[in-house]
Amino acid sequence: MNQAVARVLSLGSLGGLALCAAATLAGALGLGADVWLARAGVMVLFATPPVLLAVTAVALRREGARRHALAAGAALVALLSAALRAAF
Amino acid sequence: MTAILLALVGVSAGLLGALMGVGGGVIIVPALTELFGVPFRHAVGASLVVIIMSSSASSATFVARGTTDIRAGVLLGLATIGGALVGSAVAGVAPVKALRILFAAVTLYSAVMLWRRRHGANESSAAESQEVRGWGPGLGAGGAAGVLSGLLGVGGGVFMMPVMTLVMRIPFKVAAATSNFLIAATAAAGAYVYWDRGEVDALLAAPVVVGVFLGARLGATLLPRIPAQRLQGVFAGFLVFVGGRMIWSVFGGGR
Repeated sequence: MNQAVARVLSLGSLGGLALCAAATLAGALGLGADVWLARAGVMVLFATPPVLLAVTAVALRREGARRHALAAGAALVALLSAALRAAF
Repeated sequence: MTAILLALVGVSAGLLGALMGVGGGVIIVPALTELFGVPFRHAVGASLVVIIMSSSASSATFVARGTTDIRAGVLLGLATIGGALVGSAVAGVAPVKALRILFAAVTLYSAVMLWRRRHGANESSAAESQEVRGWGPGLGAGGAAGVLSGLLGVGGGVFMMPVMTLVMRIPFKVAAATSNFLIAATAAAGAYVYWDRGEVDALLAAPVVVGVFLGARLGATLLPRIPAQRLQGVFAGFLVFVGGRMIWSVFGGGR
């Protein structure tokens, strides 16, 4: 479980960081792409915690920790409801 | 030019965070409001985005090493996420002056915790027990930390750590790693609400995200070479100044 969770955290944080760095560079160079690169970076960062909770819930269920899997699932539902409300 | 200055704010926050062990929010929010004139709620929105990145990046290392108690983390996460949703919703209707005073109080509390840590009266003296207890206070503290995170754009670790170590008897390193694990999801919950209100400016957050990452790397490199513990007293004094400045700006007719 730990490796899968760590992978999600690494990919999410570094992916978001790379897009934010590209946006900063584009902004400094006066290129027009900075707005959508920055938004894409923020979106990748926003997506990381729900994916993390989904992976954690599945992994905990596979390990037989039903109560903890349920807690991760409930936290995921709370996050997703807030995210969907913000998106639409 | 502004992007570079914003990145430098991030570098300072990341550097000081790594050296002093405090979250970046207590530096980012005042810097954005006081130095750049960013509205308070937009500064909080940007800070929450930065916190998602920084806690995810550091948590990846802790989780891979097996330091994080993921099972305790998901249970506490329910309280922190719920608290963050409430706090960020309240922040949308609360007077900005009240938010700034509360932020100043949190900054002063952080300064006290930093000063106490400098004098060795820190929370690491907790017993190294493996059995987690005190779930009631733990969930309560988690909820309160979540509310403050959503209200003020701070991680909330400074409130969670004493309860996790002293009441729940989680060993210090495990508590620090687990707190980090919680903070990303907590900050995301708050950030979604700010985004919904149009208070997350991606162009504002992006350079600070980059700066914080670079600053934290620099801080981790410098940490073994400089007397960080001695500097904690100086930084505690700086936080008192930041908190005092924020209170002054409220009563002195600031933003």
